[in-house]
Amino acid sequence: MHQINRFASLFILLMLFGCIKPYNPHIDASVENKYVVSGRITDVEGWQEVEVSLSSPIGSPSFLPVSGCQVTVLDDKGHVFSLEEYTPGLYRVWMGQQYLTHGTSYQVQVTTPEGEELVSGFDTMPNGPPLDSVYYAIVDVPTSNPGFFLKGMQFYVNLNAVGDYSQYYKWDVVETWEYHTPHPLEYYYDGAHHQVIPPDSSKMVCWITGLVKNVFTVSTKNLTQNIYNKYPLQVVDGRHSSRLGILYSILVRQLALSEGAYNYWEQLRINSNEQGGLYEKQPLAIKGNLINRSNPERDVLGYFYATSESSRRYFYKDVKGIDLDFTNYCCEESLGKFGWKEFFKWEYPIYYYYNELGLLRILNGYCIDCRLQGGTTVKPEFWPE
Amino acid sequence: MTQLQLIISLLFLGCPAPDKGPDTLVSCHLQRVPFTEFCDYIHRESGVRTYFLDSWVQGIVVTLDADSISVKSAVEMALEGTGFVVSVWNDNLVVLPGEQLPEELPRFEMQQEPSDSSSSGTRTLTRSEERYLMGRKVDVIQTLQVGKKGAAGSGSWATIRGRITEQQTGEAVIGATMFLEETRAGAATDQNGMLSLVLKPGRYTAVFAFMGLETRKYLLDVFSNGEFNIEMKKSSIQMKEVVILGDRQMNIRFKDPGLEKISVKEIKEIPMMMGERDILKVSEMLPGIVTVGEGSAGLNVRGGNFDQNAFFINRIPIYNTAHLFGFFPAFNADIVKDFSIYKGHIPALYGGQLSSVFNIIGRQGNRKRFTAHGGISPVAANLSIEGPLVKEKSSFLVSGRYLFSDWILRLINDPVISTSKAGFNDFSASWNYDFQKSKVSLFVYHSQDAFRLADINSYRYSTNGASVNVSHYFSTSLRADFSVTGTQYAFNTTNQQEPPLAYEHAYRLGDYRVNADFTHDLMPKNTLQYGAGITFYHLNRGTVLPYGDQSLKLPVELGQEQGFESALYLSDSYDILPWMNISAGLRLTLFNPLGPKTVYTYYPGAPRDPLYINDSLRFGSMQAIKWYVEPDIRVALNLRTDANGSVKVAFNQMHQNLFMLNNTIALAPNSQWKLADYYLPPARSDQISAGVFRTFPKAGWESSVELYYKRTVHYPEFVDGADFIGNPLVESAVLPGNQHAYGIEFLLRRSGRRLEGWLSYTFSRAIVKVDGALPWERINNGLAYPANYDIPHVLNTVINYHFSRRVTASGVVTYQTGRPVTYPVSVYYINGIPYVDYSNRNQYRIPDYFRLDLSLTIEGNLKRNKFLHSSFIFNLYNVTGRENPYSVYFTLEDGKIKSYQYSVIGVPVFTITWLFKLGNYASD
Repeated sequence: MHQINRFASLFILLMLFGCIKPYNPHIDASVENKYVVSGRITDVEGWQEVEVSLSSPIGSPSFLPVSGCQVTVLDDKGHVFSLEEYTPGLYRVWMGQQYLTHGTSYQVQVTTPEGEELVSGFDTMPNGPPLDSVYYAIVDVPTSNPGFFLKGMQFYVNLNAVGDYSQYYKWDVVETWEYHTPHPLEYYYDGAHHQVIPPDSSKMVCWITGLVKNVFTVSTKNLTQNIYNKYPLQVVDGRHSSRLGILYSILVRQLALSEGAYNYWEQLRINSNEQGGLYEKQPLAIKGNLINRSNPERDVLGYFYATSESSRRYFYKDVKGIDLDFTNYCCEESLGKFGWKEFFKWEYPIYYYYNELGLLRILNGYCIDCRLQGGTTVKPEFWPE
Repeated sequence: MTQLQLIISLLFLGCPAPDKGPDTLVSCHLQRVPFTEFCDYIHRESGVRTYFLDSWVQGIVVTLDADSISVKSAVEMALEGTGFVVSVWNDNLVVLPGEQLPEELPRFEMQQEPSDSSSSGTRTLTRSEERYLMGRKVDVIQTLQVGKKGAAGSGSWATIRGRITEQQTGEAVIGATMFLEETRAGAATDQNGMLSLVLKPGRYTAVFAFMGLETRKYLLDVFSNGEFNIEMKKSSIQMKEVVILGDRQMNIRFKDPGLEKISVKEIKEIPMMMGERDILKVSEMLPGIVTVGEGSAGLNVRGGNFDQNAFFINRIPIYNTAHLFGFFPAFNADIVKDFSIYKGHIPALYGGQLSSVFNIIGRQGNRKRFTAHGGISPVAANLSIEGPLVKEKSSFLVSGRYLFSDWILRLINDPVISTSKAGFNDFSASWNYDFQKSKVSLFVYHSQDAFRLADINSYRYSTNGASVNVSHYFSTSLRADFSVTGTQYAFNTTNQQEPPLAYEHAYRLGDYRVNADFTHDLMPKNTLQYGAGITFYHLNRGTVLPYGDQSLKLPVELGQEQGFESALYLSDSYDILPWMNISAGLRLTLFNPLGPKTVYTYYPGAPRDPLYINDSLRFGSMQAIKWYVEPDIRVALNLRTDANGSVKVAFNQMHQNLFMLNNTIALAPNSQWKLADYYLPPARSDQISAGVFRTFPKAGWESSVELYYKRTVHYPEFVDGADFIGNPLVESAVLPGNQHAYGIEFLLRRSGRRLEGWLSYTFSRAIVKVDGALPWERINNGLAYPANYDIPHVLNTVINYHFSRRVTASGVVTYQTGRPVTYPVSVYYINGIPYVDYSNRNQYRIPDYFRLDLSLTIEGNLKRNKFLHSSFIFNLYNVTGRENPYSVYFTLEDGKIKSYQYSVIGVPVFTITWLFKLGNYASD
């Protein structure tokens, strides 16, 4: 809906005088929590997962897992798979390749600890082609400062599904990047001075892994060929994050969908992209494919679907044309007038180091411990040396 | 030979003896002769001298080819179109610019008895006579004689017909009222400025009044059926006099329940954004008419959607009334003569749309002299030129507007905006001619919009229409109007946001109508109106085609549609008692969607989805697909409680066969219209309304309270995520909805004073329910929800203060409840990514809307003799700079839900507009 919004702003007035600002509407917090069931069966042998949770009020969003459910997956050939809970709200089962064939339909049945029975419709596993190609282009990224642009990497994916393949696709992008802190742990003060010998550099290198939060869906239903070139994925720049600092990797997972699953994700995508412009549609109340058999009037959110998966991993390093200008959140300062007495006990430990001129400099935690930015020091298996 | 001579001499004898003087017959066969030479020729041939000033006639060249023409006519023809007038003086001719030489001094007595008007001689005072009289003005009451003495037997009735024109321009005055003080009866003029009344022969005191014109009083001597003419003069601003304006009279005596009239003066004085005068924006200030926000072209009348209004300009239906997102109206305010909005009792003459009729009658053009008007604002310019073609009988008016905003776009530091283009233009031309008993008028309208957003999107739309109207007066009591109109509305969109999906779509709607309407004064106090009309619709919904080399889009043919609407109506307005009038009408419409068409049928009990098609029905060319019979009953009862008050009650039924496919909040420029078809039935609405009207003449106030309840069935509602570009089968995205709307409207208005304006407050609701038998036939789980345009509280104030004739300050205050929206109410997570779940449809509201605008109009000096009169309008829109939210939306940013409000105009906007006209302050 971006183009429509910009189209609206075409008229000078909207551009000169229109404005967008944060606004917090008053929304009733006492909305009933709804069950959310989501999961997918892929055609790749392995763990198949189903998640059961409750929705949370908009004012205090949080993940509310539902533990202790009985979760079973059924296929249309009479097989029944019982899922086990392995973290709260997350249920899984290992399925062998012989049960994962294109054209087979799957259904999930959940019985909650309260005894409510949540059942999905049957979703048929479509056939999907291998992932064609993923590439990027350097583009101008608008910033909050109008007229000022940043260089960024716009990733694209090509779809080539000529043949007996589904017309509906979704891409999941899992990104991983490595980042460093500038200092090892050597000196600290917690009422007394300590020196670590040799300096501890185990928290200097971290990795963050996460799913790109946009929804990427496409349908070739109204196209002449089952091909889509240059579908835009995420944009990454060198200023807003440390992604491109050392090494950046993405795992692009192409999921072939049934029409029903596509419609569900497409609606989620549209809702997430609403921009409130002049010719916007009203947001949609999205219906999934689950119902509550015990209380049919209570909606169940989420979707259970079957998919064909094809994925590939890509690495990017020293990308040309990108200016690296991100912050590592590390701050250093000199010791104050009153020396170490300025620090309260709850601020301990106070890290410091001696710079190249031999001056004592106080460091914040971000300078020493990369985990504070949300990463882990455990190197992913796929990471190159 | 002798025989022949005899015949010749007989012929000679049979002819009238050649007159001396200006009636002498001459033969002229002249080719491009200078005027002076022409006059010499006339003098040689007839002995008649023509007097003129050499400097006036320089450059006038005469080409004349006529046998046996009177000298006076010859000179008149030679001077046609130059503005010079020929008068007779002592058997010679005098040429004067623009005025007649008085043939004799008018007789002038304290009680002028009888005056010059009668059924045979319908001459009124010339301007010179008038000026002569005005010089010694006292409170004169003139007497108009109507009919012939002794022509009517005692006890019989007489039908009198009057024609009211504006003195300065000679144009008909529409909606002027005549009020007889003795019988307290009255009548109002029609669109030709004609009124008629049945009364007993006798003597009456008649008051003629109209907004913005000086009220005139005459003694009316009625002998038998007859005609009379009245000229009314534009009033300067009334400072102290108490004047009973036509409008106020209208309110109490003639006004239909739910009829709003807007005077041109009101349009001109209200502050406007970008300095463009906008009749539609003025109408939003009236009770019961709202818009969902800035930049929305649609109007919502009494809880109806924006496709429920019928707009007519000189009977041409207009399907898109907006230029540029609704910031500009599609009509030039300079050509508007009369603007009526029917929202309660809609006369049986009109059919078509459920909620309202916006009827605009354009000006005819000045019938006395050539003149021009124009204006320039920062982004647009307009010009209109008008004048007589045959003096007092025929005139023309040509008007055009043009938007030139590209220079502002280029200033904006954004590559997308600065390479974009936005523009519109519109043009209209009208011509009319008065025959003895008939009036013919022609009107042509063209409007075009184009905007292009860099290489991303482009939108073009245009309206082209023409109408021919003939009014014929068969007798003083029977009038007929015949009209033929044709309109085409078309748009063209390209979208290349994503090259593989880029498409182009062209849409065209044709609307062709023939109507015959009769107005018959049957008996005193009883007027019958009847007529018939046919409309042929042709919709080419177009083909969505791939656009550009990279597009992989499959062409989607949306198909063509045709429909035939034929209607008959009959309505009667009857004064049962002096204080009670009832008007009752029946309109019977037959609507046929026509072939060629293939209609798909679906498995019984299955959703209307291409997946469930089981068969198809084939309809041949012009074969009726369905027969929809649509009877409308329209009844209004008027009760006059006293001289200053009345109570009105109405029941109104409407049907609608043409809908707009639009599920966005505002009216988008690429919204398709769609006819009722095999699946989509016509919508019907029933409205009951009641109103109390009261004037306070001394203080200059008028007030009204109106209540209504409206029920609409089969109105199409669109399912969530309906797509009208990719899907030719509209029935799969539409569900029949039921609407309930009710409200109460208060209006307090003051006019004709130094301080004037109005205050209106409306409380109203509009509720929709879509609850079919099957789950997929429901929206919002079958529960009732507020319509997108359900705006309960609306308060509008318009204040004009006239410091002097030259300086007027105006202010507008608007407040309305925020429109309903669907908000996200809860968050859920899938794979750690939050998504939002929405409330019931339209359960919440965006913040309230408030705006204050100010304007100052300064007129040029009041000198009488000047070539050009200028005025400047200084406008400040949204004085407080309030950021009125147009919408509130939620986005996912870094995994968090953030909410924003979007304001279309969040700062004060200042503009200066220059308006000009030829002539002085008072000229029109």
